[in-house]
Amino acid sequence: MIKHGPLAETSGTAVAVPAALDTIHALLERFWRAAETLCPLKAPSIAWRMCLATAVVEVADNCIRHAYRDMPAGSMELRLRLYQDCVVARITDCGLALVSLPPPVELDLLAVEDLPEGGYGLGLARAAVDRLDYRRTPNGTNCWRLLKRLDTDGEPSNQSRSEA
Amino acid sequence: MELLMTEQTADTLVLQPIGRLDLLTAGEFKAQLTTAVTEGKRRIIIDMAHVSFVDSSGLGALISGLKAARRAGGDLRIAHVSQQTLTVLTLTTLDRVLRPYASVAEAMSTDD
Repeated sequence: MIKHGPLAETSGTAVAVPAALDTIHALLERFWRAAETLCPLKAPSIAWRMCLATAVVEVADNCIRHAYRDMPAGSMELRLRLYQDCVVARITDCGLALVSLPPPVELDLLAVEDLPEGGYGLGLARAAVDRLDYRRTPNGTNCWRLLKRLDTDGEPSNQSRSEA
Repeated sequence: MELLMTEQTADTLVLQPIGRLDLLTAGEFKAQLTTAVTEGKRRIIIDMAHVSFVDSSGLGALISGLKAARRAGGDLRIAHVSQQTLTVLTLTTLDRVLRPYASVAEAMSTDD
């Protein structure tokens, strides 16, 4: 899918604590401003951006909550790249490895009392983008890669819902 | 996140969060909901008009408040949700238990 270099790129780092979400949102805003300036025809709709932001924030939440548990928080990096036909977000940290991607939360929507109050995050991220990959690099870095195609609108698809 | 509270009746409270409802703010919001139900507010309306972003932690706080309100014999309802909040609810299918209402008045007047 990606045949050429990025048309626009924004990146930044933050210590992986909840306040890092301010940095994540600021980086997303800066990225969209760069995309609008450098290639306005490629800048996606607000609904599309919100879907990507939702997925990026969920993965960042996961890093903040789990990567540095039982140790002082280290850094996390977000890099956003706009390509001809997609946006790729990469989030990295040097914390603990993820053992496996958690399965989607099973909901019994008739039993409100039994609804889980957590565990929706990565399923939500997976449903909001076209592709979500995780790998642990040989040098001990957690690397999350999110890809969202520009030819999709911002609305959730039926396929995404079924996978959520 | 700021939180404005308006008591409508002895057992009804309208809450208006302002800002993001996320990992940074959800814990405090959840505690406010729990306190409200403990103090007898079993019907809670969340006016989401000024909530700019909701993540899964924010959803968790809303679910926690919904469960507390239902246990007390009441309900928690959300109104004026943004497109982003609606997307998050839809993708998790939680829109079926946290049905968005068009306005606070509609959320208060509708019987399910």
